Amino acid sequence: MKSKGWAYRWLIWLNLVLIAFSCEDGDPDNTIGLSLLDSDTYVEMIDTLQVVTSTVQLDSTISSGDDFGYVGFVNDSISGKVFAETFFKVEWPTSSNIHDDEWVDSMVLEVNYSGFLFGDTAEVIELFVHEVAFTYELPDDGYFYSHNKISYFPDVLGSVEYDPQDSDSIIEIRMTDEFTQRVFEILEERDYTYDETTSFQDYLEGLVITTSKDEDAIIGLDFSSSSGLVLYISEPDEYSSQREISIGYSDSDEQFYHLEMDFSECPFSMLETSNEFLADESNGLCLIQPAAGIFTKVELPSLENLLMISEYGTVLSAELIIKPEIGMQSHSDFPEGLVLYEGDSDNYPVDVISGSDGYDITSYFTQDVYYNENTYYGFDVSDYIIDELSDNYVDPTRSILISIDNGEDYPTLQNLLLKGGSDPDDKPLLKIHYLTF
Amino acid sequence: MKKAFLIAILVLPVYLQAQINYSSPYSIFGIGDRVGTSLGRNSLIAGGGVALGSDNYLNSRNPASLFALDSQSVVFDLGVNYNYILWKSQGEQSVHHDGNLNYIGLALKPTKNWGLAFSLMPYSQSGYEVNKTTELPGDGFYYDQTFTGSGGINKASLLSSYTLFNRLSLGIGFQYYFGSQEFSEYIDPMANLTSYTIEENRYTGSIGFEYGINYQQPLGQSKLTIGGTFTSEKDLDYRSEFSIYDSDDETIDEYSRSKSDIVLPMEYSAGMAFYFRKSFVLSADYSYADWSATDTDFDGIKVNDEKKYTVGIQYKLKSRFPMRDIPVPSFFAGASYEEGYINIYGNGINSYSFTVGGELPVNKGKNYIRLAYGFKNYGTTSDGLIKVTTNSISLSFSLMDRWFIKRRFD
Repeated sequence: MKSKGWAYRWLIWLNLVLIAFSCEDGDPDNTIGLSLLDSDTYVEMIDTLQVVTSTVQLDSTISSGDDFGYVGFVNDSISGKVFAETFFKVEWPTSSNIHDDEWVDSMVLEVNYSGFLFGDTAEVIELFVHEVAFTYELPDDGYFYSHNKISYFPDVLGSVEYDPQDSDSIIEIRMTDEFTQRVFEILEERDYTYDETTSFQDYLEGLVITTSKDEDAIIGLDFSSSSGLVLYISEPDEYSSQREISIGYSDSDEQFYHLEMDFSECPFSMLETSNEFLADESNGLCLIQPAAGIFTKVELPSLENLLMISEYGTVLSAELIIKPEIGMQSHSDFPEGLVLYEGDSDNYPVDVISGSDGYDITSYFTQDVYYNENTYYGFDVSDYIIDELSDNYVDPTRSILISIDNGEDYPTLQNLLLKGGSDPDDKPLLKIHYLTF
Repeated sequence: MKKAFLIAILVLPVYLQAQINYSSPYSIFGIGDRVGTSLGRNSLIAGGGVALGSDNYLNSRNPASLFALDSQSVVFDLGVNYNYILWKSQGEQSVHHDGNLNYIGLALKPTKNWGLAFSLMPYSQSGYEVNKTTELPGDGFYYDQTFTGSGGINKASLLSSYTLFNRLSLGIGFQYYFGSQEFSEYIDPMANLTSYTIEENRYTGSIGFEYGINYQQPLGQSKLTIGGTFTSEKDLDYRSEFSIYDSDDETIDEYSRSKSDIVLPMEYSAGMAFYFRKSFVLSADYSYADWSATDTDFDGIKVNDEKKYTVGIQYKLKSRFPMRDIPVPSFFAGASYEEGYINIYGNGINSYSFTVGGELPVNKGKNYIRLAYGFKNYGTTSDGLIKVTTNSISLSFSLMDRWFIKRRFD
């Protein structure tokens, strides 16, 4: 029927029009109407939460396993006297094959300078090599610690005066002729007996690179790409040819550095008798020196007060701000970055604190080049704080340990003074932006 | 017609599920803006027509209006509109557009004296988006907030009227109020920090009854009709569901609550219409809603009694060739003044509007198409408030058929 068909077509057309018409297009920048709205939602900045800082010291730190060592001595105005020496072992070369008519010309101990220097940068440092007096084995837990020390014979097996400013990063310590000959004979005997069961330590327990306490610098040693003991072998022929035999370093687990710290004549003399003290007890200052096991500890005793602000609220952002001490340090002394660890009840750094993206929380440095009033290290601890509050309970035993981020697996001997205490201009701040619904 | 009707009914849930698109700052409060209950011709005369009869359209203003339907006829009404809206306040202005399905209605008259109708239309609407940026002093930290509102309350009505003594018509309507409103606040802090959304979804439901009366008095070739309606006060039950979630859609908190502290007011209206020789129709209405008796307080905003005054005129051209099936248009105009129910800072949010439009019969007068232009101004810029100006185009259709006839050949 015509009338039915006509209505049918009208309605199909109308449905399509309706679909096109069901729309709304507003002004995305519209602010008219704000006066009519009554919202209880707001963001406020809270920086009055208590931040308690203290200096903590571990009994010892792991100093093996990284192909790295320290050697030198510094009498530092902040950390006091620091002495470092590094113990290591060498092992059989892959082949020596010494001929009967060959003789040893000389021998050097090669080790790389890592680039790290603590103390007087202009200092030329004299290094000595001694022989370890006793057999030492890897401890049961698989680590050597910075307090470990092995006795060594007083005879100097080799020495060198090394200038860290030297463009050549390879340190070559000329060994004495007597020691050189002794090592040469060890290799000869091995070649003669073909005994594969003996180790080099049966002949030479180990060596140590050390220095005197008249120096004013500590340098870092990199064993990872160093050759070790290098013998120069000569043949008495008309060509006077020479070859080298390298006796390389043994496993890095058996290399370790030893540190001796004397805080008695420095601002942190309390470290001689105490492993933990508040910043207020040390003139409002805290110390960081990771290789010495010294960290700045941060506690937030009033963090749980955030849970009482409102029934519905959340932390939007949290920034931990801490200032370095300027007067006793120069800007060139400031490390590029700091890193946060979660500390346990014994102040041991359990784990690096990371954000929700999985990356470690590291600092950003803001420098006030004109007045130094606004020079600080800042940390985005938003994820950490949100996580702390997520179960409506704040664990009072949790703390934050601040360390220096040197980008390496081994701790740095560099130190840093931070301002703690309760001085309103200098005290650390936890700056929180809190959203209340 | 029946197939077309069935198709429309099948598609209807789609339209009901879609958000009602609307834009008004005053819809922030309570149940939103009260929208006119006008179908078909009523929208061409500024929403008036209490005393008019439902002849070729469904006059939802009065349940008793069904007396005017032809016996055994069915009318199917549908309307859409497009609005261009300007908000002004304190030297600022912003432009909004929206388009909507206005209403859907069906009227039929199974017997000579008995009429039935069903309609679905908005009762109130919410629609706004307001943005705000806040910077914390001395801190450099800022955050953006976006406040949005949408949705509204629909009214489904089942009307029935019965004509007595050829002149007096009594009607009753069963009304079901239902719908949902969504209010949200989106907080977007600076520097890629997590953003949050606070959302309230409000679901409402209530039933009520409307009563109507219409009396027609012939005056020679002219006619005078008077009409009236009454709707009782009713509680509007609603359930709110609140949720707070972040930009990863992780729910921070959620809860729901049920309340019934919104009361829809008692309403009555009265009108009269003068039909002059089948060419002119003059109409005038007065409507009243007793909000003050409800003691309703929308978040600290007081309510006024709502009053609306409407006048309208209709003119139908005479056909020069009455024997030929040439469609003869009709023209309409209307004006209204309304004292709104919201009172802000001592200012009532009042409005005035006018409409002009035309109606054209098609398909030998079995169907009608109507086009109208409307202008509405409401609100004020006093005390930092907002004046809203709306220009709208509305398009409506009335499709007619005959049911309840046993045909020899179908």
